[in-house]
Amino acid sequence: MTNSRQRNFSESLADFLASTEGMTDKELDEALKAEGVDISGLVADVKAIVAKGERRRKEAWAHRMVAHGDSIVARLNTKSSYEKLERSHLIAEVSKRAQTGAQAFFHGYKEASDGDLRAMLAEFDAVNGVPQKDK
Amino acid sequence: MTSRLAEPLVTIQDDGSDNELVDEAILEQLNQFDWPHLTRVLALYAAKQAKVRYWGPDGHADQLPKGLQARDLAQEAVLKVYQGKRKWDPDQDPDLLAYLCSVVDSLISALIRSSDHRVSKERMKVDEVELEDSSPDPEEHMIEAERVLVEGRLLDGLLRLADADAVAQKVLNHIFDGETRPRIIAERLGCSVDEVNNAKKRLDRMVDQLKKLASVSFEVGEVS
Repeated sequence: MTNSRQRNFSESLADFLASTEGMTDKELDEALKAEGVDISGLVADVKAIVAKGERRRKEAWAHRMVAHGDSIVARLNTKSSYEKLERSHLIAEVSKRAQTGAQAFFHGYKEASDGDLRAMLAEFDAVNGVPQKDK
Repeated sequence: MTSRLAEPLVTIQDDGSDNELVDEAILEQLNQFDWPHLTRVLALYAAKQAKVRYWGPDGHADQLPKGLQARDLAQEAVLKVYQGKRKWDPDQDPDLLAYLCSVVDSLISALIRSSDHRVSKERMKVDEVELEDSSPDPEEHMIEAERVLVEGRLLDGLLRLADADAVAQKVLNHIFDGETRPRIIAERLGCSVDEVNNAKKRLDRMVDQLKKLASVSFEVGEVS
């Protein structure tokens, strides 16, 4: 199950006993209970590990965004940044940063309701001056 | 968050260094998974691997050493990946569950190799075992000899317990040949997956019986 190395008999037997194809979470919980595994405690502990990972990811992203923003501002402050090509490049970079920011913003909204999504669209349209359709 | 895992497996502790070695993009991918479900499957994998592969020397074949439980192994595997101490590369190992299972395998192998588990020559009669591929390292030779002995006893015990269970015996033959997927075994046996899954439950109980027997044998000094 886990790698290309030939599994020995005991590993294969355990793979077979651990096969979960077609099992629901409820059936898994029953199987785990039979093995004496406190699954609710484990799920909570893993959830904490994942949450910490997500915090670290956001911190790393924020740090990168700040560095990127600082780099754009530094270049704006130089004489060469007023040249046309450089300015067009900077506009593209700011746009890319805004797009990345929007992706990161929406990343946490997978569970958003239809109403939430409509409200967010309306908000973005308003920010961008998009004319509203007649209801 | 604390751990009952002792050296060399200790890492389940918040030392502030978590995730520093993990790329932001990898963290984002990791966070996309259905962790409650993945945790259940991984915990069951750890429980079965620990049950079948670990046979403690101290009269407690049904328990892991140092108060460890299968859930600790599953949690440790997730933590190692999130901390970057085991580096998951989605391009190389697209199946995260399989990768986590390989980490659990490593943890169990480390337990088996730990001094707590080392079985004495006298008890296991290692000298009786002929190894085809003898390692020049005496310790490796001993570990491999122990594994071969345990495997032999496990297989013998299961075949004896399954003496009157034709389906279980046939299933064991397929497992011995390396096929472990119930659906494929059912196809090859020409029976339903339910029949194979029922045989799985019976074999599982047989392993439990053997573990209990192993513990009792040790307590009364019947070690051979």
